[in-house]
Amino acid sequence: MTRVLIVEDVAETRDWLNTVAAAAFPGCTTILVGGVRAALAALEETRPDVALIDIGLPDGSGIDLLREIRRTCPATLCVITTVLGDDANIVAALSVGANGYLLKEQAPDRIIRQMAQLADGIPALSPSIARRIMEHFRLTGPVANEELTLTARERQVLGFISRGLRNVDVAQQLGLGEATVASHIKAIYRKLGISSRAEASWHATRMGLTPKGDGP
Amino acid sequence: MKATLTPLPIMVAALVAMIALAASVVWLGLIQPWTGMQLVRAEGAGLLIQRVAPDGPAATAGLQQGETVIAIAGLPLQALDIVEEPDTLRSYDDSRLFFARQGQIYQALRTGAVAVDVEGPAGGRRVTLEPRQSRPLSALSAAFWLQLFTGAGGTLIGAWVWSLRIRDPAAQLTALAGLALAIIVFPAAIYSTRDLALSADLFRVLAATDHFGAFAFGVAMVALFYVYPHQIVSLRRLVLLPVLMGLWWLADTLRIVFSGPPTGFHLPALLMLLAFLPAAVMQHRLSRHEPGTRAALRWFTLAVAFGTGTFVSLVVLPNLFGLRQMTSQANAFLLLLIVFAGIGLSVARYRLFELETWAFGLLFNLATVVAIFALDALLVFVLAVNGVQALSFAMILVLLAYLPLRDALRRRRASSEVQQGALFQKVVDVALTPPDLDQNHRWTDLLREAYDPLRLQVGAPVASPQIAEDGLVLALPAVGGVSAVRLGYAQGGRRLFSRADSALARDLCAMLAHALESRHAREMGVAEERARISRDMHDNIGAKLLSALHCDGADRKDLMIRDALSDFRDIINDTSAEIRSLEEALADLRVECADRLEAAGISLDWDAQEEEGQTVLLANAAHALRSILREAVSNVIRHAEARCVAVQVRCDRGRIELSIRDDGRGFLPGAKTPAGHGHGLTNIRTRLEALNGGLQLEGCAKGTQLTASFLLTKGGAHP
Repeated sequence: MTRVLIVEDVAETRDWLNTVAAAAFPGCTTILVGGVRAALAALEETRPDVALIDIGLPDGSGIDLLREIRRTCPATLCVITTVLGDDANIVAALSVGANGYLLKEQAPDRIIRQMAQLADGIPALSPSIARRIMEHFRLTGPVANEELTLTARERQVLGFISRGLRNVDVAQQLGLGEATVASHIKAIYRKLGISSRAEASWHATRMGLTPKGDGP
Repeated sequence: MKATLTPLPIMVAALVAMIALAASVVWLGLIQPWTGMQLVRAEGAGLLIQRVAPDGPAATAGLQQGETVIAIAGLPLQALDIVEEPDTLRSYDDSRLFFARQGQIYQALRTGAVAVDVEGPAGGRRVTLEPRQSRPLSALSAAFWLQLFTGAGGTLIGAWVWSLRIRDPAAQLTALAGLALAIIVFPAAIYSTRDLALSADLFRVLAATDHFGAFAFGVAMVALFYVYPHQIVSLRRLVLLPVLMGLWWLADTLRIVFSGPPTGFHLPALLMLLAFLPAAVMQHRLSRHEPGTRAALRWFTLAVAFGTGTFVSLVVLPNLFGLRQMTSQANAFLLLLIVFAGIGLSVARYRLFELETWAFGLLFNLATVVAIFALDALLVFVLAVNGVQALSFAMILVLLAYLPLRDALRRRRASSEVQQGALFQKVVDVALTPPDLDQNHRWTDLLREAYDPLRLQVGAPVASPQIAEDGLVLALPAVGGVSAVRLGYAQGGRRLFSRADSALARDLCAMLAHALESRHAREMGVAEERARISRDMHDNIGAKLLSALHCDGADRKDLMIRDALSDFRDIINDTSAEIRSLEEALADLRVECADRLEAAGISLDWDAQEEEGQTVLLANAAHALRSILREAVSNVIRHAEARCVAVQVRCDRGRIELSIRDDGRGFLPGAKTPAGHGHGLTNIRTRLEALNGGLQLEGCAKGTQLTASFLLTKGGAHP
């Protein structure tokens, strides 16, 4: 039984996310909370399998909450949700360790599909986010540490995505399987996280990749 | 009514007179006998031949360089005979002897053939020399021309000063002094560069004239100091001085009363120099409240101190104490010219405000030189130290004191430069004054800090910072919103405004203008951005929300609201990210369309030209692109019953051609579209008109094609 924690301050949206989660993970139990404090309290009682976290919460930062969940429940699938959050905030969340993100104004069927894909381990990545990530790696420069640089294949994948291809199209272009493309994207996320923790550079701040997570 | 004389005719007259006088001096110099050889002191008896003119009488007679002339016409030659200036003789008896010998030699040279006893390496011999009765122009030495120039220069400077202020007693005295300078130098030019001898009578007259000029110069200078800038002694009382000096000159010329040139000539020169010291002190005290007068006085004192002081120490003092004069007469006279130039500038009040910057340094260096000489003299005469050692000691001691003192002064000047750096920071503060504080007030505070003026008031506008009223006033222009200012009496009235001050003012104003402009540009930028955001929101989001409100179907409402939210995010992203490019917009739309079509089971064929680089989009164009694609895809999903959608994008010269084709049902033109669904394209058509574009919808049995074309960038081509 999948346990889904939904952290969302707008009541109507919280209910809507509830129905969406029920559709995406049939038979799941949902825990609905309206803020960071309530979320932390819920975390003490139970470990969720999936967490849908709103970036803009009234009583704290969604990204800090994300970091906390990552620390205490490493196995949880963390997805951040946003409607007006800009790209910088999203990339900041990704670098902190989110598995993916959802834009709340999309049509329900699209969101359900994306959520299911995330649960299957296929991360979604929009072109503008991909561009931002490319920019980050470009600005932080080549590093001696293998952990931090993107491989040529990863750069290719990122490039195609930034031009508007979806995972399936990228797979077609490169002659790879979709799962391979997905694993490349996961590697990119991981390196993003490491790289932005390691780099305290001006660029990381500018890209919104510092712990505060505030965009420009 | 008396006609007023303007400077130009006076100067022209002076120039003409000077040329005439100079010509006569040259003529007098040329009608002397020419031997064609240059004689200098020898080791033993006689005079050494230093140079022989190649085509002169000496060369013809077989005399050579390096040989010694023992006697001329039987008269043995001595060092006395070639002395440059008879003033250097110790007593009147020596003078009389000198003139007598000069007469003898001259007579001999005028006879046309004279016997010369010469001693060379081969031994002694007698040669007949036939001197020419006039000299060629080339025989006049550089010293002659230098003295001629000095005399002419002095008189012309005096004439210039007088031409500017004809009735001013100070200017009149300056002109007299200039003339006196000529009277000193012209006779000296003739006799100091003579070819061995002049006629005794001529020589005596020239010497007397020379002394007359010197006394007159001294009297004029002393009188000037007691009359300018403030009249300390009335002109009537001053008459005493020329009377006294006139008597002294008479005694010296007739060679009575005194024992020789030292007391007859050099002593009064020194006394006259000392006489102006109390006058200088008094003048300074009287001028302490007037910065303009004080500056003029400083020029004056500086010129007199430098020129006369060095002249006296190099010429007068050695002669007075029986030492050898350290430099030739001609060079010494040049120093007098420098005095004179300084005095002239002072009396003419010419650019006094330049003085401040370098006068102090010059005086300081001068004081050092004097200190070296004084210390040297002390060591030689009082402590009886060897000459060369004394000079070395003197120099070392003075330098030891001089160098740290110079450093201290430089540090004081450097600190004033540091203050200037702080001033520039304050300029930026003035420019960035918040709206509730007074910008003018901050600016005047800054100026007060920079210049410490006694007076500061709003002034008439000027184009750039200028010094007015001979350095009393500095006028600054208006800069931006700050008004034009007039500053008076720099540093509490202690000095005049100098060129450095106006240069600083220029820098300050330029910096203020630049800072104000930058601030304005930034504020404009911010305002523009705000306007753009509000325009965007009004145009796009407002329109969509309104459509959502007023349309019927719930689905359609949702779509419109979703669109509005997505547009909101685009606006936020646009403001935070850099410029939006076509390539990025197309990439985002491709994913969105592919997702939506895939959800409806329709495949997407995307064909967009791969552009190198980034095409910057007009904001309206980006929205139009998004709206068209979204609307078209929505329509296909809803109505077309299609299997595949082909999107083609072409860009050319700033215009985009977009075509969306589906292979569905198509529609017949004129068929009614379901209520509430037709407005999307109408809205888009309106927007496209603003972009100089249009939209066409064609339907046939094989499917529907929507083509749109519009401006992408600012300079795009028209259809």
